[in-house]
Amino acid sequence: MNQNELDEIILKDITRRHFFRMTSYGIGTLALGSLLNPAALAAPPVATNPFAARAPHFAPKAKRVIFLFMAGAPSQLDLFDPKPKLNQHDREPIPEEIIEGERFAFIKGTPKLLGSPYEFKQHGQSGHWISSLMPHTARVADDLAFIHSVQTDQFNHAPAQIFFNTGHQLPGRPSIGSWLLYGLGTESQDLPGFVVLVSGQNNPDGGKACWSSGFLPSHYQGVEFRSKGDPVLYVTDPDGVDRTSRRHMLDALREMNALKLSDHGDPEIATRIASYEMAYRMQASVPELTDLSDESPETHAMYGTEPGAVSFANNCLLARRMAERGCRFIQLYHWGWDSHGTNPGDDIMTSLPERCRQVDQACAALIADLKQRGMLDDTLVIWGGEFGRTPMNEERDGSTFLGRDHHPRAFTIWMAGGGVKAGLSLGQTDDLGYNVVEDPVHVHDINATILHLMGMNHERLTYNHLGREFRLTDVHGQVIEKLIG
Amino acid sequence: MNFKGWNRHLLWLVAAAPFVSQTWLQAAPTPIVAAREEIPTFEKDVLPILKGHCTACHNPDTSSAFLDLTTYETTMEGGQADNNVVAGDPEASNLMRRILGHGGKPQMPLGFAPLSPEKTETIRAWIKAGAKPTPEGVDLRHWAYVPPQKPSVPEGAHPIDYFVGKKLAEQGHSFSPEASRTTLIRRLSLDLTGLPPTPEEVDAFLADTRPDAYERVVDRLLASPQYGERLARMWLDLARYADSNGYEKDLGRQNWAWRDYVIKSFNADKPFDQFTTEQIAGDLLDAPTREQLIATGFHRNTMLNEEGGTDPQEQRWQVLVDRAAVTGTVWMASSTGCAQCHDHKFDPISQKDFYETLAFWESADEPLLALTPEEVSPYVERIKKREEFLLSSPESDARKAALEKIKKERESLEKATTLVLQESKERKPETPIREGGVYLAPGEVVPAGVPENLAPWQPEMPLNRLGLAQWLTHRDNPLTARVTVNRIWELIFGLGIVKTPGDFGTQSEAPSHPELLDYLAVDFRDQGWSLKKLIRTIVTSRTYRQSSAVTDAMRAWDPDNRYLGRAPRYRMEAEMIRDNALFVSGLLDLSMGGPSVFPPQPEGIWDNPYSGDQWITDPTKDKNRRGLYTFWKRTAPYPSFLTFDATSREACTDVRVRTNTPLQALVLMNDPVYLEAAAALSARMDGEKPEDRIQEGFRLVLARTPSKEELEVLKNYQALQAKVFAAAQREDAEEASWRMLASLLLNLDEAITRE
Repeated sequence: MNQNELDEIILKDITRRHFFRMTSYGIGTLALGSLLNPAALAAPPVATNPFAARAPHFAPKAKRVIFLFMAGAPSQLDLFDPKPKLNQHDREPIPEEIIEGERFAFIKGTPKLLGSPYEFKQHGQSGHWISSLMPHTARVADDLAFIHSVQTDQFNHAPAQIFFNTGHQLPGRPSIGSWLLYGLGTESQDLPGFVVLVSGQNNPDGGKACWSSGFLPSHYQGVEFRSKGDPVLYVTDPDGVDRTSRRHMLDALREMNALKLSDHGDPEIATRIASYEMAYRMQASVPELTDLSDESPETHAMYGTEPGAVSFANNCLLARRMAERGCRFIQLYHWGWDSHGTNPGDDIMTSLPERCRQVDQACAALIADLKQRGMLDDTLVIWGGEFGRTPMNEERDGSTFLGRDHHPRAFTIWMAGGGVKAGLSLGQTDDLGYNVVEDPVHVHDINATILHLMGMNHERLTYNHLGREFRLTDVHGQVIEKLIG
Repeated sequence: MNFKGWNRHLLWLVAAAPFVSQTWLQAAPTPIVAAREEIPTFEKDVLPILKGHCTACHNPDTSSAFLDLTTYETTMEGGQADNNVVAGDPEASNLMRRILGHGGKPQMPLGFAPLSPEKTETIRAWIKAGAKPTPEGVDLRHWAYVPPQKPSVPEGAHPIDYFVGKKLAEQGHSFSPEASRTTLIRRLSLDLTGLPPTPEEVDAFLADTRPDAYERVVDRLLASPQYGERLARMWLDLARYADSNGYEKDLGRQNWAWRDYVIKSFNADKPFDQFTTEQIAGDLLDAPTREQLIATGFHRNTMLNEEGGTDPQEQRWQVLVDRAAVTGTVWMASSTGCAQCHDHKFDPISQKDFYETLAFWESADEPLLALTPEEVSPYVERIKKREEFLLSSPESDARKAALEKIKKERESLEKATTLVLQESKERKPETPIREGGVYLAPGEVVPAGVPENLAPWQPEMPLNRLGLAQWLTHRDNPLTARVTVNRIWELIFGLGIVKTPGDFGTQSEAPSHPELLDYLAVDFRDQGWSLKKLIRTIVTSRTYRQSSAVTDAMRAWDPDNRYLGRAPRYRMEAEMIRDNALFVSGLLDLSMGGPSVFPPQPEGIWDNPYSGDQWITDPTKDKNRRGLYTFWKRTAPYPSFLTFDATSREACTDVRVRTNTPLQALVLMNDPVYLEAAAALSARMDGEKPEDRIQEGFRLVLARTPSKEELEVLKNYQALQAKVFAAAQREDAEEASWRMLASLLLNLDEAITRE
């Protein structure tokens, strides 16, 4: 049953009860008569449900997206894009002509190249190169499509994260999830359609702008599932109010609101009634969703999860549960990839391996789990950060810890499922990993492709704001045809 | 007749005026003035539609299907099909058929929503009338760019009712009856102060039999200090006011003195032209007062990125673009931002115009202005109270943390500053045009200037921000007064006369009541730019005082209530919902101004990578201040406000969308703020019998008495809930059930609705 039908049933139920009650009070029934038969109205009393599933522009490959956003920007050169030449010239100054006129976030003067201290091997039939930091990901290599030639316009975290998510570096525009919810609605009747899960030490740098609905109505904004306190803000009833009491209260509230509706006729009141009923359902469905104790020990072993723990792994398992329950866009943020090398907490020798340990197993488990449940085909999974990292050692203020500065010119992401060509390796960087030399892919292209795989034409999914038709990809973006299976 | 001076709406009115007198009051079944068949012109009416929907593909460069719809000649010429336009025969015209999707071919525009019935009708009427080129002498200017002239109103008629009533009569409809007195006083109080009336105020109004009882309420509310706070919300949204810098670090900033300036200015009914001038160029006035310096904080509300790698040049560039664009939106309802990269596609703003307006901001320095001890002392006192309160409470870690934070707050307050602008001695108001909007690609340098096709630059205007303010508020400027009047209309009626308060451009929907808009705009200007007078005019109209009840028939002919045959009914805005709950429960602290406060919010909202700032709830009644004083952190705004459609204030917000969601239900049911309010409300609901207590609660929350049936529902509920709690062995079963009932009252649709 979709939400519209449900709303209608609720409304009929209410009005029917009141019809009988009110006639006994001798109140006129003219307005009620038409409420009982919504078809008789020129304008329906139930406002359109903004979350109702809507038809895409064309047949979609994917029905939902799980976006694993690695906030802080992981080092492609230590994970997925090996450069023997870079290792060969380790700690040699980079040739001046490469960096002439370049601006860096922190690097000053002429920096030295930095080879990767990690061993790379090829994996699976696809022969994807993956470093020793990601052993679990290596096992699902054949399910992944790597893009080694991603480019962005921004080289600071907050603007770049906001840019990746909204197509614009300044806050204020709708994010991908909001656009998809606006375009497609959602298949979940009692959970939000666009969900955000945050792990790592902190929120992403771009803050809530990363999942903002911008100028779209705010019901399209991402709903944050929190790992501490209420999973969804205010979903838990206060102490002493159990389900029975809540139901009694809502029944009375519904009657009161229905009286108002029959007296006044404003369809927003019917929507309000439906909103409370959905809230009540969420109060049951959210704890059910977030309670991982009914997952098998095998599943927990696969993900490395523990019920009640606060971790990226738990969020991956939650993401699968949300996907099963019909959420449209599920976005995970894991913070802490900003490997500058100013101390052991942000270098590539101590901090980067730790970050990999936090995500590697769970990401691979998510892919394998979706696959074994037959869901990978129509679930698009994306893994990546807001930009890449430089082939040069940052050496900020003479730091002896190894680290890399922000690099928007070339970085790697992977995608899987949802119509993406498994095992594909797309795009190439030069011998030092500095520039893209083959198949450049811009962030706008990735966004255009995500919409495309979901059955939406990125040039047609528009919204008029301040007199202009806006879209996720601004005036850019090309679908990456080579990526699509 | 002067065709150049005004568009055809005025012509229509001038022609009609001698015949209309006040006859609309008799609700004539047929329109008084026979609907004059307006023949749309190509340039003014048809071409904007084609530009908005068709020319992205059908232009001389791409010319899909060899069709170019950018000029009259090429539109007539057609493309593949030679019957693109058959003069006089819309049905035979391919243009019409494709727009309608007739003839078995896909409907245009391909892949986008079909044209609205109004737009389709315009094109059809133009073809039907012979598809003629635009006649000579027609003023081709878009309505918003023609200075408004005051249409005449029959003597004794209320101008608003005259124009709205005339439109209604044309449609064969009339006003709804007047709303009940209880509805009226609650509506007025919410609209003018953002707070509901007290039961005493309701009783006094009901008992007041003087003929001007209503006007007395209006005047009382306009004079109340809460009026300024109510209007400030709108202005703070436009000005993107926040208490933090935004972006990654999102550290706190002090600009609350500017926020207080806004409130004080509204309360003093400062003329809007002066209000404009002070905010754009207060520092450039002769011997500026402190207040006028503080006023320039308007454009210091831009964001600041303190990430390590930020390029200061880029940062500065973004700030300049933002100031130019926000000035365009706020005063001119013009999306000038488009012209950052290229000439505006639809509106008469060239790329050069944009850089000229941006140039005004190039020469503005950004100093801090230290506040004087007198300016901060009242707030220091308040903070000291918080300290004292904590010191008297038992020792704990939480107390220690709170004390530390408060100490820091007090210290920073004692040396508080505010953000201002100051004209630079070195830099001039000029700027290089950046090709494609890229700041690293500076081109020709242009001096500051304005789009002069909107209004001429007067010789006496200095070429700086002061001149810009004078130009914006000059009599000849066609936009500022209209835009401002429309914003106030939107604030009160929930929907502007122009639906898009931030866009009066050629792609915006025409005003629902053009004469009314112009009347109010001219009147506003001529009455000394007084917002209070404007609001008084609006709320004393019959249009405003109607009932908002809606019948099926009314909804069928006017679903969006554009004709205003009933009063609008809409959900309150975020801050108002919370203020209302605190007010009716007796908790609201009406202290005004000063540094922003920290009401209760769930833990973890503020986790941020690069800032150790912590949200520590204010221990005193400061936590129950009005919503607009809540600390506004851009990357993590107060969560319940966000749920009720407030924005992050990262960008200028000209309209808050109103949604209706389950998350809102959860806030009202379970946010501790509302639970505390419910508890306090239940304690206020005095009475011997349950009926009495319910009556009292109803009066507090809804300003009216319950119907017999409502009383019945609530009585039954309270009894049932008490029984359930008692069965669960709760000792406080009876009182707990009343708290639940109070919570229910705060959750009522009506409780969060202005009707």
